[in-house]
Amino acid sequence: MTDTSLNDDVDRDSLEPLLGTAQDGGVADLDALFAGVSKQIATAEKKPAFRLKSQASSTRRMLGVLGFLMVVGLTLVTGPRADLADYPPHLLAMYLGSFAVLVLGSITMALRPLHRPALEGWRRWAFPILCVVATFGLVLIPGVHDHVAMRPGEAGGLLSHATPCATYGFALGLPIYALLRLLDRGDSLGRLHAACAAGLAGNVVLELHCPVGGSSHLLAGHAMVLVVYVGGMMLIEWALRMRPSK
Amino acid sequence: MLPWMLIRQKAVACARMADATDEELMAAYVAGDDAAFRALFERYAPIIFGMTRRHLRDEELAREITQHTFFRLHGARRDFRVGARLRPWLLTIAMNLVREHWRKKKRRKHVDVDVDLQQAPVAERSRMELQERATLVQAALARLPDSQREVIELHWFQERPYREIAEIVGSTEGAVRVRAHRAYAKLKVWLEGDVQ
Repeated sequence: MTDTSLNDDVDRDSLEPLLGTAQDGGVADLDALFAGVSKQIATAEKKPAFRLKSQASSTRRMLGVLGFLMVVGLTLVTGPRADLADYPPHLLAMYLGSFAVLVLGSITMALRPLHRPALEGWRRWAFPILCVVATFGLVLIPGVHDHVAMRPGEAGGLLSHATPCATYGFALGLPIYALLRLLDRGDSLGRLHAACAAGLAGNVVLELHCPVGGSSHLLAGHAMVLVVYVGGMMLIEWALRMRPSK
Repeated sequence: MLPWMLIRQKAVACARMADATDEELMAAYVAGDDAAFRALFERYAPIIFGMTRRHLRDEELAREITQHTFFRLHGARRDFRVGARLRPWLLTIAMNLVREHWRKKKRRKHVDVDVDLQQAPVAERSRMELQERATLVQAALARLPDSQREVIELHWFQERPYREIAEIVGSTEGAVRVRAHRAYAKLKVWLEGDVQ
């Protein structure tokens, strides 16, 4: 034992007869094992997606952010809300800035490098739950959505005016989800955080697209996009875990 | 170039590989030197295999995880920065894969201990008794919670300092020390009980 800290803290003399020392025994067929890895790498290298995944994490995250900005840009070009110019700039900056921070956080988490320790216990779910709570909080903060630029909920049932918004937000979140999955190297929480980023991005584009400001509409048509993404992914994760192993 | 010159050149390159530090090999590998990857594999595959085999008690699975660790290392190679140490990197990737495996197999939390603990060897250290002793140690390790077992694996069997273990498992040095102390205390009680 070369590590001095081992001797400092552990009664080595009494443990060694019980535990023994490192006896790894080695690998009998190192060549075969290496051949297996080389084959896996050669097969993966043929796929263009693998080249994306094997970019440095900073590059992958930058691509993720770029994807998000492109979706936002697309919304501004193709379907901006008619009253965008009337939206108080400080409120718009606060609202979108808060969402942007959450989106960036989700992208960072979704593209976490694999040499970092995996999150365990409550930490696994902390960020997505924080995002959902923050989204509902932002949607319901008094004063944010009751200015001149907002119109109250449209006539008709909640479903009739919330469904098109939810669909729009969900659809524009999909490219973000797909891109993040393409860039993900296989982190166990990659799917969940990608879903979170997609749901948050859906909320950002909806804020730039939809002028309706009724609380029920914002909850059912906007915030629900994130719930569907995150809740759906949690269900999928749960189903995958419950699936009988081979 | 004459064949003997090629052989000599290869021998010099191999000697250089053997002398190189992990980080030098990794840097060479990132720069495109496949021989450096092979050298890293030869250095670390036995360590990772031994570690995961002891953890999972399944040779085939340990082989898979060893291979997958290096596959992931290849995918993540562009993240390696000058000044970083490779060993914690690799061990973290391997440990993450082991944790992922346990998470998937959560229902198999209680490992069957098919060893007759009363039949433990006492004094003689014959080959067979050593094997039985190893089985008892494995069974005792399997009884530990995952978070304590991984710390014992890295501290006792891989001889890593607490600071590095904290880096690998994503915790603080103090928390790792506490986990280790609790685990060693349990192991001592269990294994001493077995011997008696």
